[in-house]
Amino acid sequence: MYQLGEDDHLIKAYLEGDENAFSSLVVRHMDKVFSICYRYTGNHDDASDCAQDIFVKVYNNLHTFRFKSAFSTWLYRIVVNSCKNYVSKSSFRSWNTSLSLSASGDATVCYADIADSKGAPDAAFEKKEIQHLVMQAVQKLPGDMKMLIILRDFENRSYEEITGITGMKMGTIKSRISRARIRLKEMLKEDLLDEM
Amino acid sequence: MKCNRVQELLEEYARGELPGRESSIIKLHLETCSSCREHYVFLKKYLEEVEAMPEYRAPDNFIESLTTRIHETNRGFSFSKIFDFLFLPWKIKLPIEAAALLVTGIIVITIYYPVIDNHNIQKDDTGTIYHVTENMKTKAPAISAPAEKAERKADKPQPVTIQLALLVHPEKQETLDQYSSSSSNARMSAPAKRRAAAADMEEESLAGEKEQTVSPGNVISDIKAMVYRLEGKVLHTQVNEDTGHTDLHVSIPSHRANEFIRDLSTRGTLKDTPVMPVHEKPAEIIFKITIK
Repeated sequence: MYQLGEDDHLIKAYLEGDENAFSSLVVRHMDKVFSICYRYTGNHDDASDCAQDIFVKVYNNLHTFRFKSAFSTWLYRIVVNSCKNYVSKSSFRSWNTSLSLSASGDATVCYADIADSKGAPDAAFEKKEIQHLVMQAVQKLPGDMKMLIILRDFENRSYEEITGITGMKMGTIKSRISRARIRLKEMLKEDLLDEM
Repeated sequence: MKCNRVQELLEEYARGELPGRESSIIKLHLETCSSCREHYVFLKKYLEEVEAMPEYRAPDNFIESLTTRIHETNRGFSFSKIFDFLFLPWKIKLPIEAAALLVTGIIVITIYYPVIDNHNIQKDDTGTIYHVTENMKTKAPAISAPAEKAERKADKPQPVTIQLALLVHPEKQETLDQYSSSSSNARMSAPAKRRAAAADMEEESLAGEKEQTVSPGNVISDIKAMVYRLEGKVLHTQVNEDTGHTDLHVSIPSHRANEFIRDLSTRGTLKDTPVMPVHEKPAEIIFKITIK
């Protein structure tokens, strides 16, 4: 039997009229949601816009949440669909306008923490560069594969959770993720394997 | 184990999440397969880089922007809002709405169906049949819906009843003579037998009238002959003992009703002379003629 978590109590409080409970719910999940949106869209402004869209949908549809599964699973389902819709709606801006690491202000936001990482500035920059290349390669994946890679590799969701979020079969998810990694290897092997 | 299956499991192997038996199979495979080994090396490096990536944080003003956006979205007219309000959640609202619609439909039909039917009758006869029996008007709403439906199923149009008072007097004798000669020239078309019989009866009747004085009895047989000629039916004749008047009930096809009234007026003085519209519905008109 599904145990009610903190999210569920917040939802109940919101449904009983406590608007602050919704704000608390947003605060608990906004970074995760923004993070997925950023990795999917590859652009800070788009990610922010998309994340807000998602929470507006959550706000308008929270009364339909039935407490039969974790709120995070329900939320991630909205995230997956909204990201796909957002990208397809906005006649998508190509990935290279977003993660141009050196020029974009977005990159400063995203990789600001890396500057504080231990080690020499050159090593930090090199690491940042590699991570940027990884992100670029992920951006080049087709929509479904990209979302699966984000959920599994970046968000560390289990295969069971991904099944619940996407509605795909476990075997399909595993084989798609495997094919996505083969593609990533093709794109990144010179940068990652040469380094070793 | 084939390479593509191994590559599917490599990530779990690299994370140490694979059960012992499968893990040793993968390990063995990696010792012999350079392609999978290369993939494994890449995967480890790739996962390291991914894990080292920072978590992205939502912008500082995210909550404020979201609050503004929610208020903007939920303010004013929006079709999606109305749609959500009317239909969501589907499982609850749609059955309720369907049931409400059905009940409303049944109530409306139950209330208005007899009125509509009655209205049609009035519309057909407006301005012409002012003798439509009152019981037709008053009876219709009283008929229950199932009885009404049963009648409709039978597909029998309701006859219209017209009451006429015919005052017979001797001055009509000449007219009767004229009518006799004209009716003798009446066309003898189909249905031949019926009309021939009707004409014969009429001639006999009129011939009798020539010799005798005009009396209600003669007029009745005259009218009967006229009814047959017009392809109608004599329903019944009744003599009122108190007044001495004779009530004759006849049924005439509606398209010949005017002709009947015109002919009837040659037999005496009609209290009212209604003009019947020529129409198909009702198929027949019942005349209740009181002969004085």
